[in-house]
Formats: sequence, structure tokens, C-alpha cells
Amino acid sequence: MNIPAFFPAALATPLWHGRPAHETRARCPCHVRPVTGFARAFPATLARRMACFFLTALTFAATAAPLVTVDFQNVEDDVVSAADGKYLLHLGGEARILPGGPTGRPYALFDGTSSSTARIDARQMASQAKGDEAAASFWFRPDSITPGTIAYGFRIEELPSHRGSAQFGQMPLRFSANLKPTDFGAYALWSHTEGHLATGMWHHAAFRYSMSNLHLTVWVDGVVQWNKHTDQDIPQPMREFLALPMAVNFSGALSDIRLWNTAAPDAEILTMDVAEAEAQATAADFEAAAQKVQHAPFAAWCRSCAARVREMATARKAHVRDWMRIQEGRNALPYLAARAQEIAGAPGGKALAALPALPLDIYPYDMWKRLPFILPYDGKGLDNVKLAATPGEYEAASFMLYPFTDTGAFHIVPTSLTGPKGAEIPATAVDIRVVKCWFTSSSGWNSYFGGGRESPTLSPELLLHDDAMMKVVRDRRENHLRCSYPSGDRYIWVSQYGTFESMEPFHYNLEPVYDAAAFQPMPLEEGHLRQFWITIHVPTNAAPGKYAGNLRFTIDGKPAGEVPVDLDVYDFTLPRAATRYNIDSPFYGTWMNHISLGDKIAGAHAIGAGYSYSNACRRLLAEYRNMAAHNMLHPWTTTYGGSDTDLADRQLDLMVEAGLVTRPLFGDFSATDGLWAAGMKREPEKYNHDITVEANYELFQERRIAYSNQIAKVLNLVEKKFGHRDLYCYGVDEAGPDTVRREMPFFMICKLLGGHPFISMSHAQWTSFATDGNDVPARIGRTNARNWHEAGAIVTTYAAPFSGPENPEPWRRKGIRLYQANFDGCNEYNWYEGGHIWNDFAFQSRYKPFNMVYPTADGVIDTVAWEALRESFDDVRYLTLLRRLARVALRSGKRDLGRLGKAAIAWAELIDPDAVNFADLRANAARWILDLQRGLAEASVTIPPTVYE
Amino acid sequence: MNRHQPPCHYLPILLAAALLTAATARASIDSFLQDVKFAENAAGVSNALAKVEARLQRGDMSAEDKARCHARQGELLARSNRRREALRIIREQVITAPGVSAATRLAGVDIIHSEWTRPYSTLPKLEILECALLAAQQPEFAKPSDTRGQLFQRIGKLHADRSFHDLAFAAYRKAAAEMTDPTAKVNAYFAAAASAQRYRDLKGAAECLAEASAIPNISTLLQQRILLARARNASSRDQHSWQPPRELVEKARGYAEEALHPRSPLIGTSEAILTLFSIARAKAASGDPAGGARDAAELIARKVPLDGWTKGDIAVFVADNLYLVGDYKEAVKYYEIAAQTGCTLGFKRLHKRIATTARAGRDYLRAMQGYGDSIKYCDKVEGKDEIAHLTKLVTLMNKAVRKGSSSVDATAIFSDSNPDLEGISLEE
Repeated sequence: MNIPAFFPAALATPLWHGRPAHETRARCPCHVRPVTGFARAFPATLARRMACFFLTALTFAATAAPLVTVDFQNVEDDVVSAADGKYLLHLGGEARILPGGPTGRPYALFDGTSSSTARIDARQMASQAKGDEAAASFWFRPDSITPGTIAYGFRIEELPSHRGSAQFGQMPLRFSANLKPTDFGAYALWSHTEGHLATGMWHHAAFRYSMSNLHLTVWVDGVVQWNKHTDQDIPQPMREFLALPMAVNFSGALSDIRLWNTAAPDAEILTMDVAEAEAQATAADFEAAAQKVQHAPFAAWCRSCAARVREMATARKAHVRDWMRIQEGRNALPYLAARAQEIAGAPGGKALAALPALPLDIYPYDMWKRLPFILPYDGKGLDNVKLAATPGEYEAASFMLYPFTDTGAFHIVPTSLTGPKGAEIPATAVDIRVVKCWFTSSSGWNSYFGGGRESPTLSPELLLHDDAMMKVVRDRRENHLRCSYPSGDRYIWVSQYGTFESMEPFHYNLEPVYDAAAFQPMPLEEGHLRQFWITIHVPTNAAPGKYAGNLRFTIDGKPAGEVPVDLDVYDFTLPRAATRYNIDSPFYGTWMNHISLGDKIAGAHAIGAGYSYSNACRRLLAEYRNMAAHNMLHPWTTTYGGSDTDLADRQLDLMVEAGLVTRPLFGDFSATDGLWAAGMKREPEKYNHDITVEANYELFQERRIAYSNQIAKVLNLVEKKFGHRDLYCYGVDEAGPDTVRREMPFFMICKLLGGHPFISMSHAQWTSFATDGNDVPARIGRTNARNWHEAGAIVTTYAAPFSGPENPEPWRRKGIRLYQANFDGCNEYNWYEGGHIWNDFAFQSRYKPFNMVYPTADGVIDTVAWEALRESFDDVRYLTLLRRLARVALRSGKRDLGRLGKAAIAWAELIDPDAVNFADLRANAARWILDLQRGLAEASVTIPPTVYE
Repeated sequence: MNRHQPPCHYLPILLAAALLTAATARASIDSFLQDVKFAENAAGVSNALAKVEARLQRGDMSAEDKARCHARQGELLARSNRRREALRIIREQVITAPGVSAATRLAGVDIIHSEWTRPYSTLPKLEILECALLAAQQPEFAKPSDTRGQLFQRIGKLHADRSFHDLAFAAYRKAAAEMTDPTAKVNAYFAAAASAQRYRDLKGAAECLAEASAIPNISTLLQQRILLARARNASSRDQHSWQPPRELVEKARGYAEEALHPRSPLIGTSEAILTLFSIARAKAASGDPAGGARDAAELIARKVPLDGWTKGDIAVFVADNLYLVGDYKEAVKYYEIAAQTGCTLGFKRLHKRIATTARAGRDYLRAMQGYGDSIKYCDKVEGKDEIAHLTKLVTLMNKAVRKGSSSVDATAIFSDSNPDLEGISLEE
């Protein structure tokens, strides 16, 4: 080896090679080609390393002057030229030059047609555009968000047709340069972008590419969008970029274009000249807002922004990000001023005078992402948190904070809630969490497929007590997960891109990932919106009535205002969910397998082993308790099919301990013989291509007997433990009609012995008569349900969607969709599963990890989607109670009560699952229930206790 | 017997006779079981079984002898494919029968374990474990003893086989505490430490090994092995949990140096090499990849008593760290060593890694070769996309080599005089 033994370890790492490529600001001088003489003279020795160091220092010391600065000063006959004649820029169509760009220089205005364009004379610049590197920066102002090319690879994409549909990046701006056409297609440099693209507002865009380091950095408004390796070798890239047209179909303005044929340093690219007039206008806007709105923190922030922008004007130079932060605030002024005014005028507004942030009331389960840089479209000034729930119910609310300044430790401390006659709900029943935006694949908001893995995109998903548990590095678009080892905390990079085999595994069952038990103080950043989540678990013995408490804010331990919490506890308790078509038949909340002791101990299904029985029991119990708290009372469980009956026994005990339902059981014992039903089909050559019963009679008999013995043993053990044989056994996964037909003899055995076979198949007419249950992939409708019910099978669903999408909207709507469609609940795939559960970017298949929750060492991290599903099941519980009370009313024989019952049912029948507003649904359901209860009480009709069970 | 003699005269004779009878009985059952062994070898399992069953039918045996016969019967039944019957007999007549010694009960457990872990015959580990736990409940195992220690060791092994390493750790530790033989005691501590490491209880493992080193009267070799185990534990890490402080690495190295003094018989053994490799890995993880690579490279510099893959894995480790410090050329050499011996990385990934490293070192020809070799190990059907991708990469390499000299004749590009070929060796 070339590293001498005496060489100090710290110096042994070369300055360039040891650093991750994304941290290098410019190319390593010893890697610049051609370096023939230099490299030959200095092999990889100490001398070469020292030379590398000095050259690096020299490179940084020198500032890279732009090759071209297009300032639109010299214009003649639609040709913009430099004073020294270095370039010629041709303007086409109706393009016009106007004074007053963002940096004080003129700008070019384009009308959005394909003829209104600009193009630099590339031939004239051919001799100057040499080198393996390129960088560009410019200002643009979109006047409408219509698809078109802006400049140098930046373009506006077509807006998604539906606001909740594909989220490729977070704004319709994309950097996508197809350069150097070859037989393979063009070499492509690209990056999606995140941020707030506003019409009429000046934005800054920049990129830097180095072929020597194969590295690309892209900025929008001074925020890094892409900063990593690229595999595109493009020699003399500036030549290619110069050939790209500008402002094609772009309706807006361009100004202050700067181009480098070197990998210019960040400071060079992101430093701007501040225009005095623009700065003064900005300051004036802020000052006017400060005077207009009587909300002290808002006014203070406005004055601070005005002062800062004036300082920039004095300095005449500013960092683009600092400038844009002010401009983003300016752009948000109307919205923020209106919300601030709402709070100032509200009764609780005074209590928030000390909070240097604007609290915004929002709907928690929206299909829009709640992001740090997007003002919530539905936000209202928050002056109190209002909730209504029944005893024993969990109910959630959410709000966002727009911080007016960077703060230290921001803390939310709930107080206890006092109610009627001194009743109290303790503060421990109020759980505060922060909604963590972290990087997931760009299609992950709505899709369980792994598209967009190469584009880490922020998504609000995790509900954390401790914000520091997941460190999100926006500049590098990376997630780092905290693991608390005995030697101290360490952050593990959990967003590597690539195949599983190329990265180190993450052992979920061994790594000590912990969230805090209660909300932890966290810093706030000016203008960086944060979302918070409040869950109240009303004690089962809480007296009905109105309760009041507070959420107290502190910053660095000092009081910073408070928000009242008003809770209305209803005078009824919710039963378990039941189906619409039969109000005495359970509505199942089921999740498929991978939640077992065996997997936690020895690992399976891509879940790493934990090697510890006691840890596995502890974790599983915590998971079961979480499921019970989320209305998922029937998870698939290990039964006695395996050899480790003691594990099955323990697991079933844990289910009971956690309060889950053990009749019926959804077991992982098969409803069929795998070889007969599916194995033979996969290997027909072994069976002389004839896999019929007639041709394999002896084998068929053998498998039949073996299966009978196995399932009899399992069912006997279930009966011994729980006194029933209601075990749902799953057939071949996603089997087609042929396979199900081969399974049928085994289904018969299963049924004869008391078990219930179920399948996942969508054609009732071919199979429903043979099974007791079907898990429908996505077709949720009454016709489908009827087909299965008519043959005596229950029908549940999965894959509508699979778990994985972070968007809570489909999960919030799922309960009522299934309920109104006469389904018997859900049987979803999968609670958590994936080769690397925390990493959306590690792939082995087309799917992203199937995660509804994220496993930790002492339970799971909940997600917004998971909370949404709980709420959707609560809807069903409300409607179940409503219908049961209505039945009592209808059977009471009293006309008024009968009419009331009918009206309540009619209301429930008319709920449109795809359009219903859930706040209305809940409030109306509660009102009907209370009316029915009152009516029954007044008529002295006894309500049987089963109504509430 | 002479009636005129006082009892004190004939009492010793009576005692001697009684002792002789007992010894004969013992000798007779021992010799009988030897006969059975001979019969099994010479005349087959069924004849041996018939012999044992005949003896059992004859009766007139003590409970202990009967249990030993039943144990042999169970063993033979298991071998003659009557496993359930065998299990029942050993369970009822040996493990739980009254008046049977602890050693015989332990032998019963061993028979079940060995017979049912043979390849042709498997019993769920749970059932074997249940037998062992049943034995542990018998009064003969109520008090601490060497045999009880041995039983706990068996229980620990069964827990470990089921991946219940926390339970295995507890059982092994109990076993070590009760055993009297120093070697057996140390081995139990080794097993306990290994189990604790599996579920990341490095502190528990360290405590076990410290207890082992405090055992008096153990051989020097054993002492050295304990030191090596302590070194391994101190440097034990996985890919995420540990960025060891330098002091801990030094501590591990201290243990290793103490164990591997110049006259130590452990020098050059695979145990020593793997310990030193573990320390080298910790060193690299602690922020000294060059040092870690250098130490690991020394381990495979000469002939080693390691299998090819282990050697290859060490070579890959060396190469990975050399890559990290930018010594690409050396890194490629070590990857090539791994390519000769095989390694857990697999050839496809190994050759890709060679290509990436060579590319980072601007050795485009080697990179092209690496990608090309990698293609050979791609699945022709499943890996179609990957093959296409790699082919594209090779083409890119080709273009990169040609890039600076597009106007030059293709044959001239690969001549030594071409300045664009800096760092590219045509020999590789």
C-alpha cells in the first residue's frame, strides 16, 4: 500500500477523495483532465496530497468571474449585447426589455408564445464556452403557471389535473436539460424542485454542473434542490447549455442571467445585488402591514423584516436565500395579515400576544401536503382548539405555526381539562406531537409504487414526540434516524438510494430507535411552518359535559401564550364497529401478517431478527396496544400451524392482554394445501404435465389426509384455548379462479372441521360458494358485497390502497366507504413491511415500503394516515350506535320514536362517502344519537346494554 | 455362617458381599449395554432393540438401571423409525421416572437432542426443549450441581437454536456458575457471551468474559482464548451502532497483544486472525480507515488457515477502506484477491465495485472490464435491465476514454504515448 505507516491518520484522508462528492464545491485539481504531466510527476504520495491541498486552497481563494452576465443594458434591434461584445442575445417575437428587475437591472418580458423567445448566439461564443463545467444563475418571474421553458433547463411543468394527484416534486418547476444527443438519447441533467412558486413574484434559479466530479447542484430561491452525484458525462457542457432556447411558451420575465464555464462557488452564484427601489418598496409593504394589523407579534415581525431589507439595501449585496426569505414573507403578507387579524379580534387572542408565531387552525387529514413552505389554504387564525368525543374515544386536532423568528426550545404543555361538577381529565390524556416532514419518494404521497425514488420529496407523515428523532437535512435531501445506543445517540443515514443488496441492512428488531414518551421542546425557524398534532384520549369513566383546559406555550422555559382547549364529552359510549347491512355483525379492522413473535425473534418477510424473546414480547404487546387504540381489533396472528406452539400461545395471550378480539381469529394457518393448490401448477413438468386429481389420485389423497390432520390439530388447540373454532384461514395469496378451484377440496375440509377459509379474489360468481370470506383488492361497492354475502361469505378489502401512500385522505374516507358499500371491514396489506422500512429509496421491487406505522424499540411511530384510519373507524362506530338506537326506536311501537328512528336511518343512508364533510358527519351523528337517546328515555323505553357493546 | 462368632466378625463380610453385589449389578448393566452396542453394530438395530426389550421384560433391575435400559431402547427405537414411541419412552421412563439419577436423566435429554437433530429426523426444537425443561424440574436437579450446570448448558443451546438468545444467555450463565470443570465453565461463558452479542448486549457479554477470566486454575491457553474473546467483544460492532472511541480499540488491541505474545500457540490460528480482523474493523470505524486497512491487509499477506470466502471478505474490507482513502489502484488489487477466493459480496457486486473503484482512479479500461465481468454474473432474464444499464456504462467508459481525442484514430488512443491515457495500464 502506498500509505506509509508513520503517516498521521487524519492527513491520510486526501482532501478531495475523502469527502463525499456532494460536499466538494469545485473540482479536485488533481482530477482535472488533462493532468498528464502533473499526475505522472506526483504519484499518490504525500507530495501529491500536499500539492492537492495547495491547489485546492488556490482554487477557493480565487473567485470565479462569470463568463457572461446578461444585464439587458445594451439593446439594439432585438439584440442584447455585452459592452465588450462578448455575447449576443437575440430576442424573438414580442419580447420586450423593461426597467426594474429584481436586482435593479432591466429585464426581458415574454408573452408566453413560442415565438417570443431569447437565444444566445452559441456560435459566437463557441471559443469561450470550453471546460468540463458549467454554472448558471438567473431571475425569473412567472406571470402565469402554464407549461413552458424558462431558461437553461428550468421549465414549468403541466399542473396536475387534480390537486391531490401525482406530486412530482412540490411545485410545477423542474430542471430538466437534455443535452448532447446520442444514439442512446440525450444526456439528461434533471432535478425536481420544492418551494412556493408564485406568479408575479421574482424567483431565483441556478445550477452548477461538473463533469470532472460528476456532480450537479440545483438551487431555486437559494434552496438546494439537488446536490449529488450524476452519471452524465457531458464534456464542454456550457456549449450544450448555450444551444438551449430560452423563454419558449413562457409567460413572464427574465433578468440578470449569469453564466460560468467553471464550477463557480456557492457564494458567487448565490450572491445578488440589491436594488434600492425594490428594497424600499418591500420595506414599505411590511411597514404598512405592521400598522394595519393590531397583532403584536405580527407587527413586530413586519418591522423586523422592514429593518432587515433596509440593511440589505445599505449593504447593496445579499445572499439570495436571505432576500427570498423576505420576499416570501412579503408575498404571504395578505394571508398572514388576515389570519393575524382574526386572532387579534378573537376572545383568546390576547393570550397569544407573547407567542412569536402565528397559530393556524387546519383540517388534519387533508389531501394536500402540509409543508413548511406552503401556507395552508384552509388555515384560520387559531384562538382555541375545539373537540368533541365520547368516553373512551381518541380524538385529534391539528394546527400549524408560522414562526416570526427563530426560537430556542419551543414547548407545548397541556393542562388538565376541568368539566362539570369538578370532573377532571388529566393532562396526561392530552398527547402533543409534531408532524414530521421527511423525505420520501416523490410519488409516495399517493402511490404505493416506488416511483420517484430518485427524487426525495418532503412529506408530512410521522407523528413524533421528539422532533430530533429524525433529522432531515434539506441541503442534502437526506433523512437521519436517531438510534440510542448505550454509548450515546447516533444518527443513521436512512435515505440512501439504491438496491438493498448495495446497502447495509437496518435491523429493525435490534436497533434502539426510540421516540420520547411525551412532547419534547424543539426549535422553530422563521417562516418555516410546523404542524402539531393533539390527541385527547377521553377516559372511559369521564362524566359527560363540557371540559376546558389550555395548551400552554413556552420558549426557553418562559411563558409564550396559551390556547384554550374545549372538549365536549358526549353522554354515550361507542360500541365496536358493526356492518351496515347487519348491525350485529362485526366490522373488522384487520391487518395482514408480519406482526408475530417468531418474526421479531428470528426474522422473516424481510424483517430482521431480534434474537431476544423478552424484547419481542415487549414490542409485540406495545404494537397490539397501539392497534387496539386504533380500532384495529382483529390483526392476523400466528396460530398453531407452526412447530413453535409456545410462541403461538404467547402471542394469543398478548392479544388478550392488549384488549384485542380473539373471536374470530384471523390466523396465518393455510386454508389449503400449498403444493396441491399452487406448487404443482408451478412445476407441471414434475407431474407429467397433468396435474388433475385423476392423474395424481394418490398424491391428492396423501395431501388431503396430511392437511386434515394439520388443520384439525390447529383448530383443536384454538378451541382448547378460546372455546371456539372460528379461525379464518387464508388460501393461496391472490389466487386466480383456477387455483381457487384446486383449493376447494381443502376449503371443504377446513369448513367441516369448523374453520373458515378466505381468499383474496374478485370474482364472486366462481368462488363465493366455497369460501367464508374474501379480501377484495380494491373493488369497493354494494354489488360486489352482495355477491359475496349471498353465498355466505364476508367481504373485506385491501389494496385500496395498500399501505405506503402518506396521504391521509383515502384512509380517512375508508371506513365510511366500506361501511356504505356493505363491506365487513378491511383486511389490509400491510402494517409495516420492507427491506428497509425507514428508507423509501432502497428498492428491490416496484413497491415502496408498505408502512402504515414505523416500528421502534418500544412500539411504533404513528403516522397521519394511521390516525386517519382510526377516525374513519370511529365514524363507523358512531353510525353503528345510531342504527342500533334507531332499531330500538323502531321496535318500540311508539309512532314518534319510530319516525325519529326512520329519520336517523334515512340521514345515515344518504351519506355520500366520497363527498361527506367529516366534521358534519360526526356532529350530525352525535346529534341523532342524542336525540334518539332522549326520545327513548322520555318514552321510558329501555335501551338494552347490547346496543353499546 | 458360624453362629458362634459374634456379629462384628461377619458384618464386614456382609458389607463386602453387598458392595460386590451392587458392583456386579452395575458391572452387569454396563456390560449388557456394551453387548447391546456390539449387537447393534454387528447384527443391526432391530436385533439390538430386541435384546434390550427382552432384558427389560426380565425385570429385576434397579430404577436407575431400568432407566438406562429404557434410554438405550429409546435410542434404538428412534433409529428404527419409531420416533414418537421413542420420545414417549425416554420422556416417561428416563426423564420423569422416579429414582433415576441426574446423569441418566441428562443422558436421556442428550439422546433426544442428538437423535432428533440428525438430518433424517427432525423434531421441533420446542419439543426437545420441553424435555430438557421437564428434566430440570425433577428433584435430582433441585440443587446446584455440575450435572445441573450441564443440563442448563443444553437448555441454553436449545434456546440459542430457536434464536431466543436472551433466554440462552441466562441459561448459559447459570450453567457456567454451576459447573466445576474450569474448561467447561469457560466454554459456557463463551457461549453466554456469544448469545449476548447476538442481541447486542455487549455489556452482558463483557461481564461474562470477565467472570471467565477470574476462574482460578485455568490453563494458559484458555486464559489466552478468554483474552481474545474479550478483545473481540470490545471491538464487536455492527454497521450502525458503533463508532468506537479510539480508547476502546486500544483496549481491544491490548487484550489481543496480551493473548498473542510471541510464544503463544494461538498465533496464526483462525481464532487469532478473526480477532485481529475484528479489531481492524473497529479501528477503521473509529475514523482510521487507512490503519484498519493496513492491519487487515497484514492478516492475509501470507497463507492463512481460513476458508476462501473469509479471506475474500477481509480483502474486500481492505479494498473498501483503501477506496475510502483514495488509494484506488491498491483497492482494485485487493478486490481482485477477493475475486480469486470468493466472498460474501458475490461476484456481480464485486466486479461492479472493481469497476467503480477503477473508474474513480480513472482507470477506464479496468472499469470497462469490471462492468463487463459484472454482466457475466447478471441473471439473464431477471437482470435484463441491469445488463442494459451496465452495457451503457461500458459504452460511457469507452466514450470517456475517447473523449479528449475524438479526431485521433481509435487504435492510437490505446497507445502509451497518448497523454489522455494517464493512469490507464494496458497490462490490466
